[in-house]
Amino acid sequence: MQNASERLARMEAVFHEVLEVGPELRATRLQELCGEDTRLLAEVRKLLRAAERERSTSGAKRDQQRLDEAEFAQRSIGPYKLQSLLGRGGTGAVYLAQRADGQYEKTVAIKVIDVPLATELFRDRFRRERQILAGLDHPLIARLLDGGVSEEGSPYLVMDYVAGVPIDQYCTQRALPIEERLHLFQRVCEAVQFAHQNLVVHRDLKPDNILVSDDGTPHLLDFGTAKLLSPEDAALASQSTRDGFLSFTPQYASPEQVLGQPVTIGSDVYSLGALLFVLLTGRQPYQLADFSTGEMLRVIVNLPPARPSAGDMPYGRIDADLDSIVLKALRKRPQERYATIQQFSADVQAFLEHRPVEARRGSMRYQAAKFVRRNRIALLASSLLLLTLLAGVGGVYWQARVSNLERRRAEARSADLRELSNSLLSELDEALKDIPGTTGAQTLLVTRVLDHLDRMAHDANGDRETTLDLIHAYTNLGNVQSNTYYQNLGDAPGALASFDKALALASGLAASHPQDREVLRSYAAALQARGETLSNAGDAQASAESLKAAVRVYDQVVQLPGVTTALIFEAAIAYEVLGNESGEDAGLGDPAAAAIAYRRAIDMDNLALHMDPNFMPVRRGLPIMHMHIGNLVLETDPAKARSEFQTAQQLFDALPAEQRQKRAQIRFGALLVRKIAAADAELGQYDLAAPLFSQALATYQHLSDTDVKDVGALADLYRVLNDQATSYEYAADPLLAEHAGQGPEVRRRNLQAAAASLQQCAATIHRIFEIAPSQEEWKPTLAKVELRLNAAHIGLGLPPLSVAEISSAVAETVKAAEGPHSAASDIDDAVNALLLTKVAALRNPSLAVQLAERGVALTHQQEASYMLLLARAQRDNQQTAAAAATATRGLKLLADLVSGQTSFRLRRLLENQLRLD
Amino acid sequence: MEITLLLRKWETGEPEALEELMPLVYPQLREVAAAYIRRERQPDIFQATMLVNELYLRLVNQRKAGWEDRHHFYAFAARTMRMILIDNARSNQASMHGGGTTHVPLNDDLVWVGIGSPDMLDLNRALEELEVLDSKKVRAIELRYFLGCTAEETATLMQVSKAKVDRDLRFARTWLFERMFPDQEGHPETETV
Repeated sequence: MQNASERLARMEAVFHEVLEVGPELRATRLQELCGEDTRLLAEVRKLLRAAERERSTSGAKRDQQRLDEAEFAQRSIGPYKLQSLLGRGGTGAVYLAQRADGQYEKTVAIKVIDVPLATELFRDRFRRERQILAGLDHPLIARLLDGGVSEEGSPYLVMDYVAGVPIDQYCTQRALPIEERLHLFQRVCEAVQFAHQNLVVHRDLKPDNILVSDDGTPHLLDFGTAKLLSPEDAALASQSTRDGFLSFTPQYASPEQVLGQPVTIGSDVYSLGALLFVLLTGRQPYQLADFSTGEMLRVIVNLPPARPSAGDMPYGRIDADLDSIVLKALRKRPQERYATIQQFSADVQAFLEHRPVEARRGSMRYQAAKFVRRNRIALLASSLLLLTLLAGVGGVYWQARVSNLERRRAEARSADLRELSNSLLSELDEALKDIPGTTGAQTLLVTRVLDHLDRMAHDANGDRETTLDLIHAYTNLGNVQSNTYYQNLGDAPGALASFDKALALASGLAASHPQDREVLRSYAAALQARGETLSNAGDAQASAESLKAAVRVYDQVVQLPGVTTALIFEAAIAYEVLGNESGEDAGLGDPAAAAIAYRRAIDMDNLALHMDPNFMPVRRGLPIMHMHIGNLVLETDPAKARSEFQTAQQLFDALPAEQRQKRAQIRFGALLVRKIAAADAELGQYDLAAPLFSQALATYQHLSDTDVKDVGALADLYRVLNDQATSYEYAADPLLAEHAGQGPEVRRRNLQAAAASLQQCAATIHRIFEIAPSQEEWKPTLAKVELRLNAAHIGLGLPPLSVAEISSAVAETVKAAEGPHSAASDIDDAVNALLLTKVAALRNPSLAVQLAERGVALTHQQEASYMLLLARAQRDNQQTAAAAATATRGLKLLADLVSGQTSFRLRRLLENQLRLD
Repeated sequence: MEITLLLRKWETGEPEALEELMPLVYPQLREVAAAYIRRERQPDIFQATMLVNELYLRLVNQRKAGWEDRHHFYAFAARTMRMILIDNARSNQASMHGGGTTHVPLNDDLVWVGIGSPDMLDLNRALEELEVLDSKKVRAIELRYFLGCTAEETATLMQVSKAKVDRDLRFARTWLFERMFPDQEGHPETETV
């Protein structure tokens, strides 16, 4: 083997030597080198021919590839038609594309990430770039125009397309004199300075990332490796910047980047220094022999750069002042460079105006002094700046928070939601929200902000303005801390502590300013935010108390003179949140209290409408309030529910047409139809329900057809099919159908219809799995549907599922019900699954009772439907007396709750439990 | 730290460390490879390295891990990528749908080897031969073409100059090409090359 290895080494040596001479001399050279060794000669000759063949094969293959790429250019992403590949960079491929949707035509650059799988690492970086760009609106920084996820699932960013050439080429092509180069350079400084002011360090400034368009305007591109950082805390950057060797371009990289040390503003100063060197001389500050670590360490870290004036000066004379400016920017130690880009640029300006330049004075003390002056106002300003930054980092959260609130408030108002989701941030966020962010940096920022605020609070002496600022800042900070999307930042105790600080200040201020709208409003907002955080933390009782306190303050606010509709609307939202918290099973489970809160929200809405009958947020919100109230009593008082749903429908129909045409509103309209149908089914009016279900179904089907990848639309479709199936199941139940006067034949037809709907339910869920395989939470739902379908098939005399299939479906629902975060409805599903199982081996009546008891407890012993569930389970478990007692409790609840006694289905089924004895 | 330890063991000639290392890293590398294989129309070769880089940072506590560890990790990741890509090609073969799709080169410098095509298996055999003769070249090939490192990155990782990497790869490419597509016998070509 040793021999063979040596032979190869010799072949290689000869191979390279032969290739070094011109083609015509190679044969001779080969002969010379091989001498007598004919075997070596033959082998190297073979290799040289192979090299030739490889070259021509590669050429042919590349031509083919170019053809393929041309074909590719016919493709579109979203509304953008791809035209050509502009380049490939560290963060993805960039294409030239044309927006062509008839509206307007615009050439853009699209950066596409071809990582359709869950490569979260990559998406994280991509999201960061988007967040950074979204926060940088400057004429010299390529703007972010749009973003989303392509049909193939690749995230993409749409940016301004800059038709230009790299800045060094631009200067060369136009043979610009030194002075013009300096002016151009200063404009680049302006853009970089702007980024720094927004706490963004570019980290990869080089000619390829600075394109100059024909009119001479430079544009900063590619924030793909940029970093957010706090201006004063370099340690922060160190956590996140060591991600990888060569994520920078060696010739422009600062010593600290090469060493993997913290990257600061100073690193960009250095890179711009290297750029200026190139612009002034046409040469790099260093000549690197290769890109090995050793070489980079040797040269960039240790070797002082030559003076720009030391070599050729092809573009004009470079004097000592310019030398010192460039060299100051290129200092090895960041603290010896210009402290800011602005100072760098100012020194260039001084040079242009023939004033003495700072670089030659080398007075570090002077510059440091500039940074030392700090007073309270500066503290406040930097805190607010950091908060803004946090809001940027937590952009996902803010969007999500807004959208949650709005969703609860108004599915109809989701016109706004939809717009939101079409906007830059949200669609991508939807796909990305589970990905942990750069939480280390955020946590650090939170700590710093808190630190600043605490110091300010300590110094503040009851001054209204400062205290108000502090209240807002603490409340915002608390909201950021309670952010549950970022796993490491979801810090409920920390959030509550911040809210408490806000509240301590706010209650004091409110006491001394009892008529001050702004003060009371900030007080109420802090109380509300605290309540929401407590709710997320699972403390329903404390949450409700905080929310109640919030609405009490709002009650005062809306009485004050000069109150605005927007402020009243805020009060209405607070009431709505209280209603949700009171009504939800996971909350207090107190539908009566919830109904009162929703009624108060309606009062507020009407108050606002009295002031401005066309205040759209309220007009869009009102139908939702009525729907909420209807939902509360759907099972216990379906007649009342139906009338609330109808009121909602009338209010919705009265909205101006343009408020009802967007996808989300169409969806809400269909939802109301579905709700009315469900109320009809509860009332036993199956014939009335059927056409309404068909109507809602047609709308949802259409919505889903127009956006086949929309999982939300499929979920809607499932829900209406499920309600429809339920209605048919009722109509097929002798106990319930009798009321409607339906005979056995009609009942059989209804059972067939139920089976058909359930079949479609299952198909819809399978479709969801196809689009989004990770949607685990649909598994128990599918199991439930399968079991109901099985029951229908048995009723129709069709072949049932196998025991194994039934067993695994039952297990799936039980698993969901026994999970740590199971909701009452999961338990309902599991108990029904167990009760539906007729296979003797799979029966487990005692488990059914156990689960049903948990369902009753979860709904605070207040819901008749869970009493019915328990009674059925008890009867199945041979506990006849207990079943009767439970049914009696259920009937009592109905009688207490419902004045009109309209609950047909529940009452009938509960009474039946008594009759069975 | 477990990973760092295993990497050291593996590099210092304890092949069984590989078995422990694999399950820790394989699933993530598979994802990277899948993205790599799917790149079809957007041959962004740098992605793979970057993903692996970030993967590394996640797996290993970055502040404590030294350069050596990173270097080992890359060698390991490149090796794993080779296995994954070869397995992929093999299963394509088995299911008889290899080659039917468009030709996606393993690398722009290696356009005559299509990802997922039977060429990959030939390449693998040739690499096994080369391993015996000059294993360093195989490492370079793995880093550069299977993991998608740039020439500079490969040079850094192998602690040689970029010029050396370029030369080595030039020769290795030619050698592999000759092995995979041998000259037609009895068809003497011109002496000049």
